[in-house]
Amino acid sequence: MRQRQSIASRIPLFLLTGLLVLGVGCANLAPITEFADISAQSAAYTDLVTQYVQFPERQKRFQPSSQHALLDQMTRDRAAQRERLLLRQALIEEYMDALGQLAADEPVKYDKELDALGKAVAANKFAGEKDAAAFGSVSKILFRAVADDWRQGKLRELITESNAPFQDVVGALKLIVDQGFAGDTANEEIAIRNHYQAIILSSKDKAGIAALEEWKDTRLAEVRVRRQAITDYSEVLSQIASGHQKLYDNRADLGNKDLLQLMSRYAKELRKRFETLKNL
Amino acid sequence: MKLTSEEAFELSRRFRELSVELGNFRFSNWKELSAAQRRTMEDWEWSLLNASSDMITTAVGIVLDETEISFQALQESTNKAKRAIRTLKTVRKVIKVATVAVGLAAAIISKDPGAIAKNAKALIDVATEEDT
Repeated sequence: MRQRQSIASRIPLFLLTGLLVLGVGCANLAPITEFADISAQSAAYTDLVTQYVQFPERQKRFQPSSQHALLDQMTRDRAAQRERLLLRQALIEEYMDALGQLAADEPVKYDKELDALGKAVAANKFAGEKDAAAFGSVSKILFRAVADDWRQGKLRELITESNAPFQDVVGALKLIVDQGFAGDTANEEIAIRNHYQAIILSSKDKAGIAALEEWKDTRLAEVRVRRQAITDYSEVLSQIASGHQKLYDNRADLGNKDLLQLMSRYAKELRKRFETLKNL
Repeated sequence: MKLTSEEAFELSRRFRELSVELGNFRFSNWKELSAAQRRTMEDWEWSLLNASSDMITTAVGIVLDETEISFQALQESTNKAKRAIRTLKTVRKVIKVATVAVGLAAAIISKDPGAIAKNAKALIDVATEEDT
């Protein structure tokens, strides 16, 4: 009995010593998780890659049959790039997902398991109920502090190691979106104008011309929707890259209040863009 | 000489501009041009436009090649992060195993064969269960 009381009375001291040795508190990095989660979701938007691959096939509607063999070859070339493009998007998604998990509280919370352990110890008479409860409380705090410190170290290491290749991969995807996918929409508009304008100029039927003008406008409106998606996705990539750069710049103090507020703003902006993108 | 992605995108733009210029000329002079002239010009326009699109395909391929090393480096970092997450999950499993092991230890001390068998099975189950 005396022994038990002695253990129980020493527990606060153990706890204090443990926390002092660790020199850490559990940081709530929820805004980083929030930023990473929405980044992962937005990066996974694959419609633009599909449209890029299908572009030559869409062009056949407007171009003379003499150009079709060339467009078929282009379809094959683009189909061969499809997997590599999707892998780039999938990697950004996976990376941000891992970053979000490392920033999240959940992986380092062992409260439920430690409660069960404390109960098992008491139930099997290895300790009295009072000691078991104290053991549970102390172990929860210590385990969490140790795991949290380790987790933050890993998170810092990940951000430090990955920033350069991450900026490169995201930057490359943005370049493809801004110049490649947007270039397609510019070419698509020209093809639509060429196709309909030639028929309109050759026609003398006023009603027919009016109908053709309408068709042309409908087709051009479809391209405008695609262009908007490209603009939004490009902005999504900019936000992801910029947010990650901020994490890198502040990696020594990821729990910094200003940084966390900034991450919340990035997450909010990304969510807004992603919602627009999904609804297009 | 190898083309860079920047040069390929620039070429794509130039081809597009040429195609547009030709198209503008064709439509502005529609009545003055003969049908054959229009057809020839139209063929050039499509060829230039497709050269522009083709150059986009080339440029995209170059961008993908140019960033292959960074892609692999990021993949490696991502795998390392996943291993770290697995480690955190393993800790959870270790505590679960310890919880069941306490029951087994008590059963062994009390020399209760039924309880030993039950707790041993529980220990195997928790040790072999999938990570959540």
